[in-house]
Amino acid sequence: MSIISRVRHSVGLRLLIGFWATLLAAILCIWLVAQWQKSDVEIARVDSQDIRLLDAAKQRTLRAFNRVGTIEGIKDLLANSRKGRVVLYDVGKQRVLSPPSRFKRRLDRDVNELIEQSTPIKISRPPYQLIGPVPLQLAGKDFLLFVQRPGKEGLSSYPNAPYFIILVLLIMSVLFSVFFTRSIVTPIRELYKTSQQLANGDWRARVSEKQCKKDEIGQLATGFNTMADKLAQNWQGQQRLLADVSHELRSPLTRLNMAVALAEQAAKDNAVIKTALLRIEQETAVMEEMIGKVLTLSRAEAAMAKKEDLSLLELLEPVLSNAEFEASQLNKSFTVSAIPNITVHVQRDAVQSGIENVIRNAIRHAKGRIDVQLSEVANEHQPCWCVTVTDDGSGLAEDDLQHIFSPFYRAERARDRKSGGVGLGLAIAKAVVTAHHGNIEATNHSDGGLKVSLSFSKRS
Amino acid sequence: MTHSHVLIIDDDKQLTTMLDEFLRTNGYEVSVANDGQEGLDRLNHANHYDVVLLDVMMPVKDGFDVLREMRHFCFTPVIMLTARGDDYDRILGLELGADDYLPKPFNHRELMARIKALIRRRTHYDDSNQALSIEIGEISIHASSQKVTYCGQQLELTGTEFATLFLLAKQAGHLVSKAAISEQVLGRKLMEFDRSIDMHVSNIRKKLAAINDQPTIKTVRGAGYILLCP
Repeated sequence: MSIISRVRHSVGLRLLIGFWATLLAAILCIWLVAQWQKSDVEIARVDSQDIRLLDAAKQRTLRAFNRVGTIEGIKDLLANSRKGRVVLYDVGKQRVLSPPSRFKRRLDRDVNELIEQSTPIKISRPPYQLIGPVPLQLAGKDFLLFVQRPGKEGLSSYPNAPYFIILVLLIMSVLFSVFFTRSIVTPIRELYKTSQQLANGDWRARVSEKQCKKDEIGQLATGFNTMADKLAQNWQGQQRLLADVSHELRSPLTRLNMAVALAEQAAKDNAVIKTALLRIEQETAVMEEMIGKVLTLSRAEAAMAKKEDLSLLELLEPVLSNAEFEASQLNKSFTVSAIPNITVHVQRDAVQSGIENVIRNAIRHAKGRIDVQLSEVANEHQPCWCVTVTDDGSGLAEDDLQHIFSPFYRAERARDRKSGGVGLGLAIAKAVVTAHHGNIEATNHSDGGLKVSLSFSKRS
Repeated sequence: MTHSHVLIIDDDKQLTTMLDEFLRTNGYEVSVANDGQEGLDRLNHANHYDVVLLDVMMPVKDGFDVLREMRHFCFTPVIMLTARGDDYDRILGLELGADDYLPKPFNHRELMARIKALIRRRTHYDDSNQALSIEIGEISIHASSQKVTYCGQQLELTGTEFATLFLLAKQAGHLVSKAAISEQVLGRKLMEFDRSIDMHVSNIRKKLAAINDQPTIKTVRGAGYILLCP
């Protein structure tokens, strides 16, 4: 991933870079201001030594001028004196005549500030000192003479200081920025992680206490935990309701069955009563199956069960071996393609019962052949794994294809048969697939049978 | 012949009354406990029951608690009465050492078949296999005492686990189909999508592995199991 796209995808990195840059800019500004205001300029009166120096320089300049005769000529000559360089100011032309120097600009500025002075003074501005002015005439024109000489402190006293300071500043600002960014991003990360855990059915997942501070993110974390509590309560309520329904509806059915058993014993050889009792028994079985399926359906639709990582083989092995067994009992051939060696993240029981329902449906309606294909679709946006179940039955009318996943919908071919089931199996399969961000689809096979394809998102 | 004695532990009094009557008419002696603790007390005081019918959903002490506690002191065959389709209940029950399970609402014929199968198995060992013992590698099985040792250590197996291992051992090195295990051990035909045999075998494996990690029982997918000869 390129750096830009990493930055774009991470609030943490953006904060870090932004904050660090701001910090550096602020430091730079302060440093510049400090530099600008820095008053290391020292103004002092000249002492006798300085007067002598100025006199000597004046004499030297006059002598040199007498020898050379032009101003331009002596300029270079005066530059290399052990006793200090001579700087001249041409009053008429208002121009500083100084030998080339690293500090020419500052020097010119300082000279300009001194020309108003009637008596010489001394400016110390490391790394040089400037003394003057002394008026003198050369070739009938007025000049002011200054002497520039190395100051007490040379440049060598702080040549490395800025680099060292910059290094310290860099390290400090990085540390500070990292610390600051972490203080914001860590709670957000934890919120994200917890929300993922919740979404995966871990109802005990909460943001830790230490993130629930008084600040805005802390409030968000506290609010999040409250919401999670409520969700967990609702979920527990629903689970309890399902368990109660399961228990409360089944208890009378169990008693009904036992009552039938006692009645059957008492009926002895009365054929009419025996037939009626048999009928009661059958109907209880149908009701029982419906209760079971409705429960499975509502569980699958709630999609609340915890998802786990397991290999596709581990997930499908029990379903496939059972289906194989069931098909062999009915003398139908059952073929399975190779199972891709992948790990999937699913609600084990729900997915098993969803796939089981589709396969059992196929076994029920097949004439003699059921085929299960497993594949992995490596689509980058939505990587998924697919199960395709094909039978060689009579297929379905186009109208039915749309509706077979609705609860209690039974296509004609199913109603005709005694083994029709209760009409919830495929609805359960659809609910399971939906809970795994997948898709289920039924089409008529070109050879006449029905083909049901289920796809499950790998990231679900 | 003495009547076989069935202990029913279920909090549904109307049901237990009917069960009591039904089983008595079919020639069984019946005791009823309407809560878990009472059931445990009965088992503790006079352990002469041949089969226990144990309901899962009971207030205070549920079926799993009772099963867990009773397995500390007795291996009387237990049929768990679970809610149908609740795989979790079924699997947990079998893991805790139930011999079989019967989903509620059950059919009385089914109930009779299950009870008979467990009792028949029990008398089977008592009568016909007095001196029979089998040794396969480190595993030795004594049918008369229903004891199994592995690498010199004794294994605590439930009746169903014992019967399953015994069956596999009699045909060691050969495939024993799940259908055969179901018929001979549980006394019923193997039904589709029934994983109870797998659970029992898995329990045996776990108990064996706790002593020695060597693979002992091999799964043949969709077919059955083989007890490996060393």
